[in-house]
Amino acid sequence: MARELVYTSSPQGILPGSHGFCTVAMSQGLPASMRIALESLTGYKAPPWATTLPQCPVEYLHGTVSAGGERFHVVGAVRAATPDHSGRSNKLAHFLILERGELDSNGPVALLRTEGEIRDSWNEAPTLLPPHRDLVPSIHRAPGICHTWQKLAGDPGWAGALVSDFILDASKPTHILVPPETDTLQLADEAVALLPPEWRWRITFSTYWQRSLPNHTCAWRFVFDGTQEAAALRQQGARMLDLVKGGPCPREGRYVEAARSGLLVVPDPTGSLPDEDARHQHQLRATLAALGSTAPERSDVSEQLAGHVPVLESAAAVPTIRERAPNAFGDSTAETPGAARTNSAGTLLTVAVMSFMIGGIIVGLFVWVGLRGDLDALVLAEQEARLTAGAAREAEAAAQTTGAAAAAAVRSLQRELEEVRRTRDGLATELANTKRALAASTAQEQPPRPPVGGRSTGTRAADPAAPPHNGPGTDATTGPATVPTTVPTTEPPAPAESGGPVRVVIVGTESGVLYDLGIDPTWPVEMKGLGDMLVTGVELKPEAGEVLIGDKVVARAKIDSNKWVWILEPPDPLIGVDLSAQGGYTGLLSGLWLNVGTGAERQTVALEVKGHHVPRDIVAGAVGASVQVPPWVKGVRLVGSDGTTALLLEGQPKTIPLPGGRGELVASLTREGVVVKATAIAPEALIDVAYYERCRDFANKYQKDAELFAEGDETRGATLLDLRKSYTSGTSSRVRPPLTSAELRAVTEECKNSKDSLGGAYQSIEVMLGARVASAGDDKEIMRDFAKCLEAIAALAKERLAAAKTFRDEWLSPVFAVTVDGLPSDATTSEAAEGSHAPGTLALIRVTAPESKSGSKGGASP
Amino acid sequence: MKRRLLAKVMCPCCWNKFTPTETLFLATHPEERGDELLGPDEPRRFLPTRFTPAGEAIDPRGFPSTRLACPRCHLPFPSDILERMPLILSLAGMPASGKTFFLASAMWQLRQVLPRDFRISFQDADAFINRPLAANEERLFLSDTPDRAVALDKTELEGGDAFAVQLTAGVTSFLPRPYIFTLRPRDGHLNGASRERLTYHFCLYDNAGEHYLPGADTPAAPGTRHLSEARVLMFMFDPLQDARFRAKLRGVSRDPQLDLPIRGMRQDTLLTELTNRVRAAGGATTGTRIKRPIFLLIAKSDAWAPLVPDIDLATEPHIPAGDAGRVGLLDRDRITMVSTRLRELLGEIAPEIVAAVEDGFERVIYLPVSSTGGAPSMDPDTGLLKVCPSSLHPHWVTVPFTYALARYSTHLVGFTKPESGTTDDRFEVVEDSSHGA
Repeated sequence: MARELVYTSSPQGILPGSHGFCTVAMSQGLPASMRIALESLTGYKAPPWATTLPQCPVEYLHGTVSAGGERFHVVGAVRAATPDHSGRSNKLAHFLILERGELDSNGPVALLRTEGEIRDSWNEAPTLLPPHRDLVPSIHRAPGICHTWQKLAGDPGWAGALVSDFILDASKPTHILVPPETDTLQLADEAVALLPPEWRWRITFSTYWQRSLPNHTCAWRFVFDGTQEAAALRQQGARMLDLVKGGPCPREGRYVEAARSGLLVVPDPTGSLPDEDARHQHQLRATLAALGSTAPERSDVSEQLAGHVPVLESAAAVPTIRERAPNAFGDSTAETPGAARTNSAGTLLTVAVMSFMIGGIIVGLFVWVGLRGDLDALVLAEQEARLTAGAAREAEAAAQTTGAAAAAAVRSLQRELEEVRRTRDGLATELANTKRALAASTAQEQPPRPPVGGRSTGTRAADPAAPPHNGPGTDATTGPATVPTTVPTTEPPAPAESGGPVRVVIVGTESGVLYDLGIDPTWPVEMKGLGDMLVTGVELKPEAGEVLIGDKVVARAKIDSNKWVWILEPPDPLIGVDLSAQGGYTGLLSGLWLNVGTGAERQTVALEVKGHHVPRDIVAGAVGASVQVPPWVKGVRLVGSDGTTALLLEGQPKTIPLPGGRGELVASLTREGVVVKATAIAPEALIDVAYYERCRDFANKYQKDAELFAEGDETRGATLLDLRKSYTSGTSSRVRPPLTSAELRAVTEECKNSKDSLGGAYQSIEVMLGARVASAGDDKEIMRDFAKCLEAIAALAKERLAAAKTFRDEWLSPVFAVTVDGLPSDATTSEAAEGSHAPGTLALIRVTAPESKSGSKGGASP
Repeated sequence: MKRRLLAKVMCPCCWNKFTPTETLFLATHPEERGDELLGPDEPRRFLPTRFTPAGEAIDPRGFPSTRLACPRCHLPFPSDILERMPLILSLAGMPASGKTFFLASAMWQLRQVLPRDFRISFQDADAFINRPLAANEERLFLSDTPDRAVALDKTELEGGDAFAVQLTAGVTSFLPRPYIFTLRPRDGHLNGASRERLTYHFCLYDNAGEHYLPGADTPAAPGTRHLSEARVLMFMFDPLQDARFRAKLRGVSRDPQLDLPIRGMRQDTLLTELTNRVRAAGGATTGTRIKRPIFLLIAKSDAWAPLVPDIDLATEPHIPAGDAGRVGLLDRDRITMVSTRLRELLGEIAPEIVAAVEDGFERVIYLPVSSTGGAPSMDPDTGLLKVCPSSLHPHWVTVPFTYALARYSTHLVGFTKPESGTTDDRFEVVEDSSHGA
């Protein structure tokens, strides 16, 4: 079921009074915000070569839009249409709006290719459509060799390169440059099919990309050669696959191999990134090796862990793999019923063998773990047990379809597994008790340690033995915590030492951040936007499987009026949930508070999406300085080289007196960033040293040339002419008047007479060295005057340079160095008192709060 | 010489007013991409603190930048805007009344007529921003296959050439692209020595007609807010969308547009909506007549010219500079006469239009315009209305602009003295106070 909207030029639209380009049909109850969002996607411009309708490419698209605090998938097409009622060019856009539970496991391209789902004409009166429309099940799309890519570019591996680009960095779009009249939907189809079903809906694409919109993500952008967009792309140096040039794909990797061979990269049921899978596999092998087991081959691992590790399988094996892997909605029974019946006996046998095998491994592991007390092995064992339980569930499901005898056998297996599980739980409890006792004895012997510095995500659980922190990232007794300046967004943190494992995987996208949380089911998860960011949506990861089964909701999330997101019934703790937040500034989401846990175990992290460039230190320029900071930064620290600090909070301008009563600075933190303005400042502070150096060097360089030119040496003087040429070729030359000797002499005098203030001389220098020299002619008299003027400027610059250096060394730097420092969004002035938090913290603040204030809001605590 | 910056600059895209020191620059470093209002593909906007000796801002990664952007909407604008407030001319009208054709035709004609007959240079202030309009001009007037009929795309309400901006978090707004032109006297003009001082900017917008429909002015679609800033307003009345005109024209014109169904609402309703928007933006009460003049452009004059056989619409109402001296002159008598005659015609056939416009505006100038000089033809293959570039002969399309220029700059274009044909007393000769030309 889906909702829909149709947009075209019509004498009458669905809204009263609308005509021309307007919405002519939409589902009843479609919110206005969604209608507006969809209408913004309807832009269409025919390519320059298209003179007839069939030559106009159709833009098939899949994206997401947010409306009413929720995020929806949009699948649709925008195409040129027959002329409208006024005899002018027309277009037709038809969109289907799908909620998470309405997604077809075959992906968006399969839906677009399903006949009759997307309208290609509209000749009806404006109409309100039924609230929901049933969709025809799309045809399953199996992966295969990407023949269309091969035909177009000579190597099907390009399709794999496209997929790899997305896997490696989903936040960056990839442009695919293709010749006119290419079937780009077919290209998208083949490329999407390389991905496992549960990943296909994560691909946003446009088969005829024309422009970017601020609140619309598009990861794969097919651009036709010969359009303005193609020309612009070539100039920009954007990430691009040039299929017009084609040739062998220079890239290698699993997906490139898959595109060439038709083999499938097996999905991970946890939904984690395949690249992470590789890391997990590596870790698993290392653990097994450490335990003395033989590291299994890839296929063995795959079988044992039921697809937990990515391997390449032949396309023929896909149905079997699909049976084990849940589909995009977590519905593990979504495979073709016929296939399930045919293979049920074999499945049952396989499951039984697997269960015994894995159970044996688990028992062995736990015995070994019990002896060695190795926590890593315990975690591994827990994972194994979970998977074993999953296998048992599958077995049970299979048993229901194959008769009571098989079911009885499965129940027997389940009983054995329960026994194993009880043994495991007992061992785990014992181990935890031992560990707590050990921690308690250690605490008595040693002072508490601060959180380990250098971890990238800061999501470690609080050490229960450690005292509460007084501020962000600072331990009152042990000094500031060391934190990194940037946050790698995909590295999982260490598991918590109590309360169950915590895993946070962060995937930054253009439109938001996905947080993959593996959490203790007893912990609520809260999300709160920082600064201007608004948490507008939350999604539960479909791979968790228990989100929606049929009509039964087993996990829910809600956003309260304070934009806190609560996961009310979290699913499997080891699988976790995906939380998706979309920033108010879509496309540049820069930060988010994330609270995990309750009470003393609550952790608050402020996360920055990678790629957001924030300069750390600035030195004031001529009239002050500014530095842009992410909107979530609520406070900055002004740090002097002498160690003095001044805390600057949003909305609270700060006046900083300059030493020696030479003036003062007014600093403020606004949406635009940190702005430092000088008032009544000493003249030497107006211009920075580097500027003087440039002025001096420039003047010295050209003064001699000007003299030589004036004396008839046009060889050296030619550099001046080149200079003039370089300036006059720019657009700015239009507004710059010619240079005259009289003006040169006036400026020279001004420079010579500039004794107490640099204001006039500063402008003269700027004018002379910048714009005006561009107009200097080859007249020898002008050149002589120009040389004299440059000499005066050089002399003045040299003098002021010395003064500025002195000023900088003695006065300037202690007050102008600004270090951007994040503060908790809900920190108050008293909480963030000067000196109470660590300097240098930019991207990450960790706060380990004591008992929750209210139970609903985390964040910083005094 | 320093640049004389305005105390307050107006963004031609969102009409925000700000001081020049607030102007943002566009980063040029390839890695400096992503703007919170415009999306991840746009160059980052930054407030510069450091400049090169040439006056270029230095972006956060050390690359020089000269392109400017508004601090509110972050859209780029030509640097000349910092020095001179553009003269905004707003054009409104029904969908399919011919606004896009008119703008393309008028701008192309101004590029010809102003340098030749008025000795005024007429250039794009920013060729990149003006590109869509220039493309329409090229399609109509510079086709290399002039005998093949062409059509201009219908102006889009969303997308198209408009700028997409996220002024409100999560909501994409579309702002019309400003087409900005620079005018200044050329050598040989009476005031040619003062070209720097007498430089002006025209700013035009090509809104979709749907933007002017009642209810279409919303925070998500603030595209017609230029109406409140416009010095000159133009409303395009399309007689071919008026049933009474169509009845009279069926006997005298074979324009295929007469066979198309009448679309949309009455044009006097649209005119009233326009008046209300201007009033609301200016804080005026209902019933207050707006002091700014409005040109009521009666479009497609080639079709309805037979209804007023007593006036000459084929020749342009100006006297070229070569004949009149060193400045081109507009024939005010003739324009006044034509305006009066058209008012009578409208009052006779569609009196509610005259009533609506004169109720809202103190001064109304009725002008005929024909963007093509002939009727379009229906392409049987595509069903599109097209025109043949080789047969284009626009009439009077430059008059609204030259008239506005003569009225608001008394230094570039003159009016003839009543009944004398010589320069009237309002024209001023400017002594060159700047450096030499």
